[in-house]
Amino acid sequence: MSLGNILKTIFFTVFVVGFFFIIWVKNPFVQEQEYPLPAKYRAMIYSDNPQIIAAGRQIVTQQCAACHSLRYDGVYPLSVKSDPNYPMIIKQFAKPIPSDSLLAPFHQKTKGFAMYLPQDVYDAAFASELHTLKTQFGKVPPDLSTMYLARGPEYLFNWVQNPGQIIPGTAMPPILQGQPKEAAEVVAYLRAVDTPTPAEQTRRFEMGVATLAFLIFFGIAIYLYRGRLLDKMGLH
Amino acid sequence: MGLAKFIEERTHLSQIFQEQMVDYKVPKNLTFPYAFGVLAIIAFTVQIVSGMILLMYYKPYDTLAFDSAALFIWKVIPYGWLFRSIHAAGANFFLAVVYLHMFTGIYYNAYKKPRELVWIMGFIIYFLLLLTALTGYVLPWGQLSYWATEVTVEIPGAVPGVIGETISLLMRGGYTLGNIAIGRFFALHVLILPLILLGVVSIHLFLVRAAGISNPDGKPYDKKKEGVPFHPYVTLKEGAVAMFYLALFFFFVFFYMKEFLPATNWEPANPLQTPAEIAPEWYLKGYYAIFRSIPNKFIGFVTFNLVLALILLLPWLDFSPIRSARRRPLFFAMYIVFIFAGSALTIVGTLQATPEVAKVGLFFTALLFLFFISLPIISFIELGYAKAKGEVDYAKGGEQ
Repeated sequence: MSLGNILKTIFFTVFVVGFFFIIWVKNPFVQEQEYPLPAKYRAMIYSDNPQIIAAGRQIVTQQCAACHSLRYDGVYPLSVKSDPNYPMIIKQFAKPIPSDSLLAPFHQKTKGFAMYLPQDVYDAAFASELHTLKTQFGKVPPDLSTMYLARGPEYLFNWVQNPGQIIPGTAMPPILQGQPKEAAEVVAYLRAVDTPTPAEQTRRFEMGVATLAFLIFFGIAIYLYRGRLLDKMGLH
Repeated sequence: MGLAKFIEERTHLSQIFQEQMVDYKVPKNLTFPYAFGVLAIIAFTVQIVSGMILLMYYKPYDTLAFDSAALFIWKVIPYGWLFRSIHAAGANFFLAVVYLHMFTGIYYNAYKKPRELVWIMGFIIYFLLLLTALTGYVLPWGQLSYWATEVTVEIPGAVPGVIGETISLLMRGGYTLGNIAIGRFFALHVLILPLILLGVVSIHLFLVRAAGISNPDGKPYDKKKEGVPFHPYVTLKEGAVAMFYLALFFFFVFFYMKEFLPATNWEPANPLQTPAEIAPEWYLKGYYAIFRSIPNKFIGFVTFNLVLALILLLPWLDFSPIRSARRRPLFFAMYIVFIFAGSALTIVGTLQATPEVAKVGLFFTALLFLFFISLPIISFIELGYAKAKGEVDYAKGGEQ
């Protein structure tokens, strides 16, 4: 290969890798809003500690569930739960979904299964409660099931403490203002809903490493075999 | 062995293999970027297989779609998370590979006679692929699915009068995106478009074999002396490349899905709440940046469609008898301008729309058109050069 060709190869490789790095990994031209999350509370959120998660779930079911649902863990707004039809609708329409083991202790009555109501059934059966919430807040307070994945821990940690600071004029009240520990517990619980258990995470990590190792090994093996074969055929 | 012999006697498979794979000679100097074609086929296969699994559990209905993807496929179905990750990352990798394949084709001028049909079929694949990606993007029914689709279906509305509105209405299936749109997009995404793609890809492959593979030097070569057997010379080389490609792909699948399953899409679609930033996916952002930079919507619409049309017409814009950027310094320079403008526009598409960003977008749009305008001029200069050197003959056909 001539020097020109080497330079061209380097240029195009750097160009392509750089382009995909910018659009897929880190875009230096876009400033992302950052929210503070002290290391102490970050450690709490990522601890996978059943006690912290239990405390978080208690806050969610007692305070957040005044208005919000968390359907993937069978948590429904208090007004919905006090509907006389609620037990019957759960019995008729709710489907048991396996809780991750970190959440299973909360579902002892249902043998570790969260009772999930399909969205259409939920909307229809509790239309009047949802309508009351809607007139109260301007919209039905969103379901919290996937909020951890959608907003991330930093945002949520600040949001539950002081929502008005992030979106001025929001209908959400500052329920946990000045209570960072409780805020961290809530986020830890939301994380537990959306993240596989530590054992499952380890398993997925190992699966990934094994897959990569196999493909790279196989690729190198093909390449070496090709070299030997071409030598034999006199094609090199 | 009995069974192998039984099949062989009836199908002559080994004879076909010998004729089509071993006796098929290709230039020895094929460079690394020639592998992108094979990688595109692999990416297509990955999409079809992972899509089949997802199809078993996905529900195309507005109140059920989000839960079927985010709860059942993601959490309940064993390995559902894996197949959803593969399908989501695979779509991005497929388009990335197809873009690289196209840019390779432009670099080596693989669209010139006798390969014009290969180029046109390739362009049709690219266009259908964009439609497939677009229709698939709406299916998880998250906020980004909803609003990115809303933005996209509004773009034809830039055409004045009834026509634009009708196209928008047809794409949206009414005045709001809802069940009709999900149903249509679902059918298009899982059956109609992939089926057409399968056919068009087969034609593309047939045409590649019929016209013969191009070669990076752009010079005619003697197949008998310089050619090497396709199998095992190329198959094993590209087999190794394919393994490394899959390794990179699975690295993203297992360890970095943040970009391919974006955070905003983990919120269910809400027609009443517009997210802060809405933009199409990266593979459309270049066109979107052009559309957005031009103040007049209709002219913006025409301009980005013109880019698509000019890509399709490359074989006729570039009529120079000399092939391959390796032997065409002027073309090489303009090619750099072209890829630079194209990538810059894609990145401009990721920025928030401000007047300054629009100016930058206009500048790169101008650069992009500079490439297309320069092609006939370069070709004219090179035609004269080639004639003076007596190199014109092989421009009129022949194997190269």
